[in-house]
Amino acid sequence: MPAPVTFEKLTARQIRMYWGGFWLIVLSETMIFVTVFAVRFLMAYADVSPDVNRLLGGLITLIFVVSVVPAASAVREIRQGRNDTASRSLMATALLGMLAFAGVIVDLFTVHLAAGSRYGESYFLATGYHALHIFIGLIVLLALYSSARRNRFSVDNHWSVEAGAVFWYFVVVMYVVLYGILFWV
Amino acid sequence: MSAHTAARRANFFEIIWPIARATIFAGAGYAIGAFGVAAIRGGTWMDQVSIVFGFVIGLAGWLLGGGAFEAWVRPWFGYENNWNEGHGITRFFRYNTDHKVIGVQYMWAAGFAFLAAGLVAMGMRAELFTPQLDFFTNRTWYNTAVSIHGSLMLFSVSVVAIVGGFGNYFVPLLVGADDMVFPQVNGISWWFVLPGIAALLLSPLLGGFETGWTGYAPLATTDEAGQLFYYLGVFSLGVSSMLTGVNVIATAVYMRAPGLTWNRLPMFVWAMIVTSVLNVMWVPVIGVNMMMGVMDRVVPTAFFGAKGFPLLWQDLFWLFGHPEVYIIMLTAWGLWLEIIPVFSRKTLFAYRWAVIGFIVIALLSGTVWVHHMFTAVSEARLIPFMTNTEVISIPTGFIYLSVIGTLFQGRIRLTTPMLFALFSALNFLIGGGTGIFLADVPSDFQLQDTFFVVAHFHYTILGGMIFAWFAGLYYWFPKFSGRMYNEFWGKFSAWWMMVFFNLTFFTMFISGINGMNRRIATYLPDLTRLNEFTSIMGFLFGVGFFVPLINFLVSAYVGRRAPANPWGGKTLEWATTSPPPHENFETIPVVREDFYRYGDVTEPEMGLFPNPTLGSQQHTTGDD
Repeated sequence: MPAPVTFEKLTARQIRMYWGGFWLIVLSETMIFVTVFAVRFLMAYADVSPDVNRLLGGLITLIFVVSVVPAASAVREIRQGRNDTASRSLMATALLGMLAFAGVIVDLFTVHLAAGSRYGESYFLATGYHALHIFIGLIVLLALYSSARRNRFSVDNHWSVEAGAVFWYFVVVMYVVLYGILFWV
Repeated sequence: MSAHTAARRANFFEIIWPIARATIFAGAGYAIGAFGVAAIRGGTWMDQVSIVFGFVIGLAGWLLGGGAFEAWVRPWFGYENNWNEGHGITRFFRYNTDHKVIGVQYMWAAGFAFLAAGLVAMGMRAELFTPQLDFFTNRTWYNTAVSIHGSLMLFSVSVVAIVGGFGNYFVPLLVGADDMVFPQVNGISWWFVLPGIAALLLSPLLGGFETGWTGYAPLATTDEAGQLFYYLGVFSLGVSSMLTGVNVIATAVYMRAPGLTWNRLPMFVWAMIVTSVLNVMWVPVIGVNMMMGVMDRVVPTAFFGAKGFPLLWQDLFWLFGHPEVYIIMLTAWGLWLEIIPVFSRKTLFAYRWAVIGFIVIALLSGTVWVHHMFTAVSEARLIPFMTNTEVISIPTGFIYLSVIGTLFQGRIRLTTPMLFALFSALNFLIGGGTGIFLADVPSDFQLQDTFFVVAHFHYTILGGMIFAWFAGLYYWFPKFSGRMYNEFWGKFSAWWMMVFFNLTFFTMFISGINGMNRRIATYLPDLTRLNEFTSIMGFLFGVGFFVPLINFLVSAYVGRRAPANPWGGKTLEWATTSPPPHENFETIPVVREDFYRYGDVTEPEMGLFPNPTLGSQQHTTGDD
């Protein structure tokens, strides 16, 4: 993920190998969620507790999906070397992400699920692990925002923004999947 | 090399301060986490929740103090990276992005863990010297010793020494690259190793843990809080493995020198790629498992407790744990196949089959895990997993095919690395052969949880992988230190270790068949003689490790200067100076021929894929 902060032009070969390595990280993270979701079906089959807050979960999902829009425009803008507008888009993404993160925290503390129940433990495992990813994603977005504010990216060297955006898409997609699997199925 | 002249100039404070600062930050982070959580939710700093938060924030503090603040946080937020990567010997004790330095860092960390865990094993053998309890004050401490020995050896030596040490140091050299794809990630990955080792070693402060390295539930859920340090330490070590895995694959795929086709990739690189794929795929699984263990203690959920599903722990653990066996062994096989052609002066036999063997083993490794749980699972799962397990010996045979075919009619030089590689192959043969009895359901029911199992996996991991690690250490010592080791003491250590290793662990097969159980501090008196013998031989075996330790330490300073290519090897690491310069090669090398063509080079090239376009003129470039 962390490409060195330089003003040098990244060669096509460098970009190719950064992406190759980055997708391996995404693959590895995917294995986490595959395991977590497998545990959910193993422990609780397809049961869903009537106590889960589908409305709040839906709202969080919506915020996440909306946050993809500024993330995508940040990537578009940084490809044209526009650090200022990109930093605003990154901040918008991060703010939406923080809102979603707050929603997740509220949900974790208000949901009436017994932690020791079959469904409850799968719920806390999956949402907890995902919350950790939101946290990492937010740090990445804020770091990128801070870098963009300092004009650290250029047309030739902005791979970290692209990778950070892909990581954020990954977090969003995983939440959508999680919402389907834990709140509905 | 300047490392040694600079070493005398660097004062002690300069060497120690990054780790000292990291330790202070870690301690401060631990205090903030533990006391902060205790203050917020009530309770004490020794509560399990406080411990977890203490560890997590302490780990963050450790990373930041070790150099991540200057080298990661600052550039990430758009400031200059103002970290000083050190010079000479100081480089090995601070955050550094040179893959060669990181490789040495991994090696010393693994060596330290190996010595610590080895000393614990000496304590265990002292306890087992007599049938009654005398060395440890009670069974809990004996079991904790077993657990610490196993966890350290498996998670911080076996999967770190070769994969982290040689993998980092030699994969870029072997593929002719100047560094890894992500040097910064590589630099930080090592810093996850020491917290893992520290957590496991410090677990007695929280009462220790009795589950052994496998951490089986439901015992783990009723165990002392030391179990938390096991979960968190293993998780931390897993992060390191995963990051290294990503780096190794990306480096081998994208940074190969011109002409270094997949057909010509060195065997060690093949082994590292396959191993890293296993790391990237399966380490997250055990990470989830460890987190579930933590959640059972702090939330508390009930995944593995009396109300839960303890078998799930075993399934997830071995779903990682069996591929881990191959994470350990594949790289050792890669080392055999690097070393044996060089010292047989003969073209590597059946290159293609050995590579296919690696890949098939990796594919099968995820389908055999239940053979660790035969006595715990339903009958329906026995036969399929028995079959898969026994099938896996076929691709393993390919590797032996390659070894024996290379040795056959070779001009064998029995130098220390060659001795260790051959001994490793012999030991692994015994380990693998006895594995058949454990893969076989009826005999496994008898042998489960006896010293037969202990002997079996020590033959594979200690006799196989650690011997291969030593083979690699001796083989590449001239490369990374720039000096030659003492050949007499090298050969002496090889023979000493081989003899006493076999005397120690072969007896365990016999005591296991006679009913000696694992993980017990006391045993039936009629097993006393066998155990006395094992203990004495074990102590002698343990003493043997000080020979290479002293040999390496002394030779690193006063050994004869090593030439660039002391063994007449043809792989790329020998094409540069010993030790290599910072950028590895003066100019990026171009590969024009297969590496393993020693001796009679009129034989056709043996690539992975048949390649008719390679003309016969390439065969006459000859043996250097």
